Amino acid sequence: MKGKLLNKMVSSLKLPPEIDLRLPKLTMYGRGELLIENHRGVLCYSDEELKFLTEYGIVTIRGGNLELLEFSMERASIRGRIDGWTYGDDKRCGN
Amino acid sequence: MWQLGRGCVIIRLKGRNLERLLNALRGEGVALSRITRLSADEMRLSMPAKDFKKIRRHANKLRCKAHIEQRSGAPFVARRAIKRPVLWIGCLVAFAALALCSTRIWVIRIEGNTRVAEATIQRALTQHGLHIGAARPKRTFDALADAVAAYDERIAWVGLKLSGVCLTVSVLEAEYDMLAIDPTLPCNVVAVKDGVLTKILTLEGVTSFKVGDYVKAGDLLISGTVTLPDVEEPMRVHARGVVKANVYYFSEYAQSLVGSERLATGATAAYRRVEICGLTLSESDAPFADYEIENLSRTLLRVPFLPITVWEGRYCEMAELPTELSIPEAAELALVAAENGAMLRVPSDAAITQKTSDWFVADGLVIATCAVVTEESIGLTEELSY
Repeated sequence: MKGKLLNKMVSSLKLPPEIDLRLPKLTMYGRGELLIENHRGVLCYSDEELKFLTEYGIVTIRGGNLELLEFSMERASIRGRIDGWTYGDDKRCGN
Repeated sequence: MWQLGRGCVIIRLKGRNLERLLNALRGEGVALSRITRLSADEMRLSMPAKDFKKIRRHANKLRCKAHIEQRSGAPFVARRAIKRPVLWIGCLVAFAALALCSTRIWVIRIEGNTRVAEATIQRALTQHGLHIGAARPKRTFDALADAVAAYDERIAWVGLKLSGVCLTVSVLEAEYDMLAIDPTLPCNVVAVKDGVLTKILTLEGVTSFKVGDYVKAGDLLISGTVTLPDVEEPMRVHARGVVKANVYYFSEYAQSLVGSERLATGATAAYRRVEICGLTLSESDAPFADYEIENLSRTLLRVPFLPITVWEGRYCEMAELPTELSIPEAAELALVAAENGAMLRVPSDAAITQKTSDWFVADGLVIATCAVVTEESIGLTEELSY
């Protein structure tokens, strides 16, 4: 209810979507660094795969030599060879 | 950097629920960094030292083990340093030495001297206790400066300024005429230029000229040899006086009616210059001896971290081409050249009383003449020979 109200307010006032603090935001710097904001925690962490829980599903990041440079309440910064990322609902690790 | 200031620890975690432990710490607001997966059940991370107790609490709940691999940052350095009294004594001695050194003069900078050697000024300063390594003077700087100035008669004034450990000595040298003759020696006053006398005032010696007389360079204006009535032997004195004359400066310039002007011939060639960070990397060779670059345009290439600028334009050949001048144009050029020729010879301290210029045409040339009349001092003291 609260989320819907916030969504309506953001769209009616034509505010930038970042105002909605639950909205995950992914920023990629080249291919070697990715910043994910507004996550809800990490589900899996290995050299090849990282799974983050977000309000809109599970974000899976795949690549090689992945390292979590920073991990805090709102943001996580990943460094390494990033092959891609997808949204999904699969919570299992190692897929 | 701020982590180093507040102290941080590198932790090695072992267990099966490491992701849950990370999320638990995140929930507590702990900022984790440089998290590396070492194996399926091992992880290494960096975190603020003050939050280490939080990890212990959660690690026990989630059956994980955590141990500190490395401690770094200011709190740990301070804790180690507090146990080293020699270090503190060393710091104290260093501070004391610094405080002591800052009360002394270590740099002496001398400025404003041209004739007086720096070594002479340094000797004068040393005599009054100002040398490298000396303590700050107890006397006032004004008194010291006066004492230093009195050391050499060529020094008119000395200013001292102490800024930190640097003493700046500003020197003003006395002006004196190298050619001046000792006022006790007998001498004549002679004319250095041709001119018509406008003023002649004899203070010592005798003169045979009067106002309105025309004198030539080298003429004896005031003689230092005075013969008194009833005295056989002439007396030799230091002739002195004020001698002013109207001096004439003439100049003539002939201007041809065919002049020349630097113009473009019409021949062009492409121009290109490549610059990196303002430094010229390559530039096309100029095909002409005399040229100008026209229509220069700048293009900035968008190469990351490498600002490359390309300048493109065209070389235009230039040459001195003959042009026909009208008589008024030629007269104007000739008058300017003639006036410049005369004015260049007028001394800077001379007063210009009259300036006339005229022009006429003769044999296809415009001839301009200029005459400048000045009133200036023409007397020069010349030592008498025995």
